[in-house]
Amino acid sequence: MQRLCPTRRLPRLSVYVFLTLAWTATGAAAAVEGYANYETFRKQVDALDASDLVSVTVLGKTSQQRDVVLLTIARGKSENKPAILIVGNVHAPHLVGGEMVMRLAKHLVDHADDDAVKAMLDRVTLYLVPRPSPDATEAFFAQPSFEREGNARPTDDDRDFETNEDGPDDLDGNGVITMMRVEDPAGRWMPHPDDPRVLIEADPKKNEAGKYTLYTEGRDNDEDEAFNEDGPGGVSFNRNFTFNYPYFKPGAGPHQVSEPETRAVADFAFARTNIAVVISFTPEDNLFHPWKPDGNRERQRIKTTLMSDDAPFQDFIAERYRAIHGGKNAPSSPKGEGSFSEWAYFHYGRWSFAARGWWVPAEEEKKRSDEKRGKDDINALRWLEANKIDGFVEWKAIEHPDFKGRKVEVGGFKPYVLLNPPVKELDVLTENHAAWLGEVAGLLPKIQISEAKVESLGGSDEPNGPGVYRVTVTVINHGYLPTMSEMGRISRQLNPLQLAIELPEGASLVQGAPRTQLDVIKGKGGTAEHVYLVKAAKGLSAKLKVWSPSVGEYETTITLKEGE
Amino acid sequence: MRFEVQSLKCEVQRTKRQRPQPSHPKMRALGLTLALLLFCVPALAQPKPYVPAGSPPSPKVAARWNRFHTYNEASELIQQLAKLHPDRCRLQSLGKSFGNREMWLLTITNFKSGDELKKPAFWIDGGIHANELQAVDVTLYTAWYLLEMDGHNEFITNLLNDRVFYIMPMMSPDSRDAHMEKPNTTHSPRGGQRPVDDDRDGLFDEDGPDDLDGDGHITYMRIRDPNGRYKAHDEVPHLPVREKDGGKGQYTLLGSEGIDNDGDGRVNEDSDGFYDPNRDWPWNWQPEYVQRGAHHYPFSVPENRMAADFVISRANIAGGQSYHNTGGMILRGPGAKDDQYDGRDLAVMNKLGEKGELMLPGYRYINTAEDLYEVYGGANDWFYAMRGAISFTNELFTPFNYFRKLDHSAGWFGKDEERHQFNKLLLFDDVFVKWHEVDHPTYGKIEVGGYKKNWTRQPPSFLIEEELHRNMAFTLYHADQMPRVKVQAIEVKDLGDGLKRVTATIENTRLTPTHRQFDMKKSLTRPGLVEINGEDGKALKVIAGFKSADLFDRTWEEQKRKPEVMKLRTIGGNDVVYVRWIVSGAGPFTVSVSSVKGGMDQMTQPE
Repeated sequence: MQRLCPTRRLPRLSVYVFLTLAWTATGAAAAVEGYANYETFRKQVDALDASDLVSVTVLGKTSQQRDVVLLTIARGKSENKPAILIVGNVHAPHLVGGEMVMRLAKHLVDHADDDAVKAMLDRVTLYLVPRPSPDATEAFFAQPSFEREGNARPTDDDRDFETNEDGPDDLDGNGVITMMRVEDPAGRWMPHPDDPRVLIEADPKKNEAGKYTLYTEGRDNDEDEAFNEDGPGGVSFNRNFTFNYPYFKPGAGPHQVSEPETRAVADFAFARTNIAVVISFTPEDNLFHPWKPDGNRERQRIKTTLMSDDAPFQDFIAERYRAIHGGKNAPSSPKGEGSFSEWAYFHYGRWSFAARGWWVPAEEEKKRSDEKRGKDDINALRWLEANKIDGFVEWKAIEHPDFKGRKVEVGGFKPYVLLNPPVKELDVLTENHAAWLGEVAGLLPKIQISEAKVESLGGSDEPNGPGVYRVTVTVINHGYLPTMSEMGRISRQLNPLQLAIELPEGASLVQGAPRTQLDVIKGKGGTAEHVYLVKAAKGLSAKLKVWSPSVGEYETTITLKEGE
Repeated sequence: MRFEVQSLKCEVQRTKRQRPQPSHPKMRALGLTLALLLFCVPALAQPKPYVPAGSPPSPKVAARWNRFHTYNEASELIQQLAKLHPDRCRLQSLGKSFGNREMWLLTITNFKSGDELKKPAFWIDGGIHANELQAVDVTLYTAWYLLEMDGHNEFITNLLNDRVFYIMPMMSPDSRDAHMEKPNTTHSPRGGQRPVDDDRDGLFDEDGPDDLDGDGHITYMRIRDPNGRYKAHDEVPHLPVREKDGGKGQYTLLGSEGIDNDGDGRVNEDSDGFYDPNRDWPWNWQPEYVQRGAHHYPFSVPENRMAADFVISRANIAGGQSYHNTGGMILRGPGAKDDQYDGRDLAVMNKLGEKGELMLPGYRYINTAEDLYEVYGGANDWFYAMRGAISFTNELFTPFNYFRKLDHSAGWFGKDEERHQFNKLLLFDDVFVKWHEVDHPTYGKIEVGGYKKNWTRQPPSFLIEEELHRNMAFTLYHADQMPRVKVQAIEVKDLGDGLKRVTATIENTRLTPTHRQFDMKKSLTRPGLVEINGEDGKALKVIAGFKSADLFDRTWEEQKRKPEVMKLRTIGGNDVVYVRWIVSGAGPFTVSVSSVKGGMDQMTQPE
């Protein structure tokens, strides 16, 4: 199966697989220095657990017995506050996402006494899942090194009824799987005029002739004329969710939410009705490339586009992210299929923000030619050189038994290096993301009973006898976000606001139920009103409470006499 | 004993006509004794039982089919079947339900006639909607019938020799017991017993119906109201009907028996469950706001996951049957209008379904999406689109059964007047709880009444067995029509120089192809494999292999990789495929065919 250069598109699942079955890291073999293998990650988690703010739970175990870890950061009882769920490393080769989540946790613990952090944790609970598919992540530390998304389940990626029969091979023995270019007059690829290391697609309209066919480094192990189309593993966490599920495609698994990793996170999410927002780190970024509503399509019964009513809020928060992050020219987002971040919005009904976090920065440079094709690769090479990263294997000829008599060269970008920055970049990134997280927490709805007007309607002749009172309760939302997104309302996944009155002995409701559900309250001063008719002796007090697990709660006491 | 004496008397009287009467009382006594002995001797020799047509002659396990089995009774029955038919029946539990009941699975086949895993398999599940009681009993009846008729009936015996049945009698055992033991209507509980916060108020199952009159049935409430819109039916006094032209009646209907248990102003809004286990399957699954009853994600109902894991482990499942009630339907997918089945697959399903309409009078063979209502995430679709099997859902019992009058406008449950007639004339008014006064905490004096929970969806006792048998017969017909591969013929032509051309005709002797069109499109089931071997122990060199659908067609398709094992994408229903090899070596040649859903066969041809 032909491959494109890794930076051009996100690696498609089917092809990237390991030949070896070595799941455990040998320790020193990280594809990019400074990232934590599972052992180190577990130690980091345990270190965080030492803080009072942090509690660690294991949501589930993978088939290789690794933990799907949850870090709960909270002051007081965690379930009693609205929560933000933050998931990193949703796309297994994207370790920087998991690193961001761990560093956010550390940042909060280190700054626990800062006013800003205190204020945030007074308002919200944070649920962090830094590494949802640890078996898949561990490929980063295996030898030979190869980007793969799938967990340890043996899968028949090419649907030929054999599993794991043709993975890549390290033909040049350099410990990394790159690409092979095979000289081929019918090939689609030709060298870039400015840099022959980069390959671009020949355009027959410009009278260009291709010279090479591209494959991933490897042999056709099962002699079916396809290369490396079915290596070991696996199902991708980020293909296994229910929204826009890619039936039968490689990496999707036998069906939706089939994997212990996916179930662990999904079951946790459904059990926590206090989660209001989901933030994930993934290449399916919707902050630099916000989702766009589609007024026509959103009228269909099955919602597949951002709801117009939700767009302004998602847009604003995305705008704030971009301003804080400061990055430019973010790569386009691949279309999600069975992805976590889209599931979080469309099926789980929460606000969903997905950040790529880091990408190879683009630089204006003197170009030798006007060639627009391959500019990402050219830029990547420039960046690798400027940062002294050995991220590109020079094309070198080898003898290839499947291509007897033809020129075959192995080379190309090393796996992982263009997705994950050198760790020195992570400090600034952490600062930025922590600041943005604080802002998001501050934008959540804030409910209050702004008014509880008591009017005496009379009813008794005795001066202190029981009378009937009309109590008009006004609930206000001072926060920026409405109490629920439109998709949340449609999907019926969140608990609506409830208002309840608690009356003392001797008082009773003349009409109406003591507990009632309220509609969604818009942000920035939106209100909802409810009226109770109460029969009570003068001067008795009643309690009013308004609450929802994903919004928070507010209580007040009123006295039943005119003018309250 | 009294009866015996009387019949003896008759015998004695008959013999009196033929022979001279013994006049002496002692002689009469002697005659009586002799007659008694004559009576006993044949009794000791056990005369052959007189068996009504289509019934097992001497079942090892006694069973009665004019009632519904509880979970315990069903468990007892199948445990007995497995114990007394060990060569044909294996019972296992796939796990425990939420309420700690066993998820029973029966494997029924002749274990001695071949590897169970290599036979075409048929899946049967019952009662995924637990209130649909007869949907379990039909699976119990099927298991019992197959095992007790095996060895006495050629068709059944062959069926067990050639096919394997996987029967899951109770997909939702907790709710079956709940229906029977707790106050319910004929429609409840449809889902499982796991608590779900249906009204999302933070409380779980806090406000279900209340059995105000304690009779075990959830019926209706009405209140006398001079401004009410309902009055008593002219002929059927206990049926409330709307007063015509918006006029005033005598009653207002207040809904199902219930109280606002949680003080939120709503009545019965959060009962047991609710999630619909037949909206929990992966194909075309949609969340709850699109498809009522969908739970969190496919197979988030653990009982379903147990069943699915088993089905996934059995790629040989070629056909399936789900049982439900009611309305008299044989349903095929797709469940959603935006989905389509391949026309060639439909053609096969139609032949099966139309036979079903013949065997089940009053039933209609229809499509769920177009003719019933949309179902996202139903089991039938998953079997077809992701397991490559043909499966139907039968909705057991039809209003046709009341008076054998075909009237599709009668809906699923039949016209009220007709049901009343049936209740009165055939059931002696057994199924209605007459309206009677009850005190309601909020409404005051009200009346409670309505149909009992064992009526509307379930057949009355005397019609149950017919329903079970006819539906089983349709299922067994389908099971028999699952693919069955054979090596029909082998022809050898000598090409000289030690080369031979061997042509094998591979046949599928049944209506259903080995692969659905959709199966081939998505590569769900491994292709059929046709292998050639030479003289025992001696090496056979296969030089080239070809296949063709037509013996006389010049376009033979070559298989370059491993021609010694030819791959067949499908073998059509009642159709053949030709496989041809050029080989170097000596015969006799043995050709064997192995089809995941079509079984196996082999033939050896002398040279």
